[in-house]
Amino acid sequence: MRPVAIIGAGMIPFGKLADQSLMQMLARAALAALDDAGRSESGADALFVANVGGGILQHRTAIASSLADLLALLPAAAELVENGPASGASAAKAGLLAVASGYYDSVLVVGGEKMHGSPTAQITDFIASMTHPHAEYPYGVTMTGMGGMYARLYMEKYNLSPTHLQAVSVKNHAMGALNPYAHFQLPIDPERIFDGPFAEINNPVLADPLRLYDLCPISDGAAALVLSTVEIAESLKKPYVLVSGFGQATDTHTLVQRDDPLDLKAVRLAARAAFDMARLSPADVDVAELHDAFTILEIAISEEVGFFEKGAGGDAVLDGKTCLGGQIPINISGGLKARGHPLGATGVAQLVEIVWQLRHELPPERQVENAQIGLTVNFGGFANNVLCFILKRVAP
Amino acid sequence: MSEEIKLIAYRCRNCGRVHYPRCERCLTCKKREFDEIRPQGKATLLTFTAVYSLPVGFEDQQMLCLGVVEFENQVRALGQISAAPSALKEGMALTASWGAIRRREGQTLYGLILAP
Ligand SMILES: [Zn+2]
Repeated sequence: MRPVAIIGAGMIPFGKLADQSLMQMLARAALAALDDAGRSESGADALFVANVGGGILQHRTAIASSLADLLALLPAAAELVENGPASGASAAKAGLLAVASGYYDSVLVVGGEKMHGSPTAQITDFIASMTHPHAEYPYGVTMTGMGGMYARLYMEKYNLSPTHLQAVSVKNHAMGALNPYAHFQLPIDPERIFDGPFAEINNPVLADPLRLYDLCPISDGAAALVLSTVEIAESLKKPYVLVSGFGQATDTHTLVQRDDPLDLKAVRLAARAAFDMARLSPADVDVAELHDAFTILEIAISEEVGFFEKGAGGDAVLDGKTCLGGQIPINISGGLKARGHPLGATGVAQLVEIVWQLRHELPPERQVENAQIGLTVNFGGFANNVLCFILKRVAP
Repeated sequence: MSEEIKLIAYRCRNCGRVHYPRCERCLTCKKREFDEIRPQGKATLLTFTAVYSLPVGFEDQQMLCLGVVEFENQVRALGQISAAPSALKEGMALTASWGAIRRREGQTLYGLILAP
């Protein structure tokens, strides 16, 4: 395997993008990444597209071929990668292996999702279609319902309180407010959302014990990366990012089938594989983007990755260890909670954020000082398919 | 409430691991022979939630209470709970029955129903 660089990153602001079609969103993010890589005209040898709902919600299939045409990348190779909410990281992995193998020198990875435009019950049902068809789906359990059952177990076992969960939400909304690409750009006023007389109305229970402000929103969005050989990256004569570690692991489809439902084993195994490949340890990481589809997950993943002992992740948030300037800044983009979670876009957007952090291009209020190593965790289902990347800054 | 619980779990003939839902190979020993078993004994509530944002098929409901139970013969399954979440506590025993759980495209789906 030869080393692989990320030389371009781009995304469109996430949100409720009523005036943009799925293909327009993907194309705009792709062009931003190509421009960033200095490949506005040369394009890429291959295209990997991450998307989950195109066939169901937009009645569009085989969209990678369509996007290659739309972007005038022809005759570049093109594929669609569908891996549930982990599709974005899976498309990036496909790009990584394509360049590492020596077959392609440059690859464009684009992830996107258009989730608005359908009735909410239909979107909820579409997301629930990744649950087990007999043991889960017919009962009406949603991903949020799984999150609620997981949160109850976790809170009971580790004595975690709603205050811990609120701290994640407050941090991620505060960071989202500084990120022009985030869906939500308003910091949380704890008095109004958590404590005041209207807290029950502003922050209702949606999947007991999880409340509205524990859950990521439904968002539209797209993000893109350009991967290349190190030779191409070096020729650009500016800082770039190297993929220094990658790992992936699967776990049982259903939570009930796991020996310990609290154990996010696939997260641990994916992270361990990535650290082994990078020859690094959790203490070496300067900034991380973790899959906080629910506030509880940011805490649980931060432990499985190895940033904190099991059960210590909640207090770490309260103590400010995961905020900007803390021991390990987590979800400085706002995370899924505030940036949003357009399924196919998420894994790519996490990597875009880390690329920006490692190139030291962000405004000081949201730049992790002198960041050299970054990590992402993107997962599908309820942690049944997990991908972890470790990226490293290279300055010529 | 008296209808037989039609849920089928699969016990590995080699190592005894109980699977629900079914897997084609045992998750522990990778063998392929299973005995079909039904849930037996009391159902202990492991965790639960009340969901207030429901997918299609629950239009006449505001809230859906769901939980995971473990039966005495190690069968673990998700079910709908006919109770308010305030009446529930992890570790409590629930009674299990088989009944209508959802309407989907003109059909009634049946499944595990739990109650205190
Ligand atoms: Zn076995």
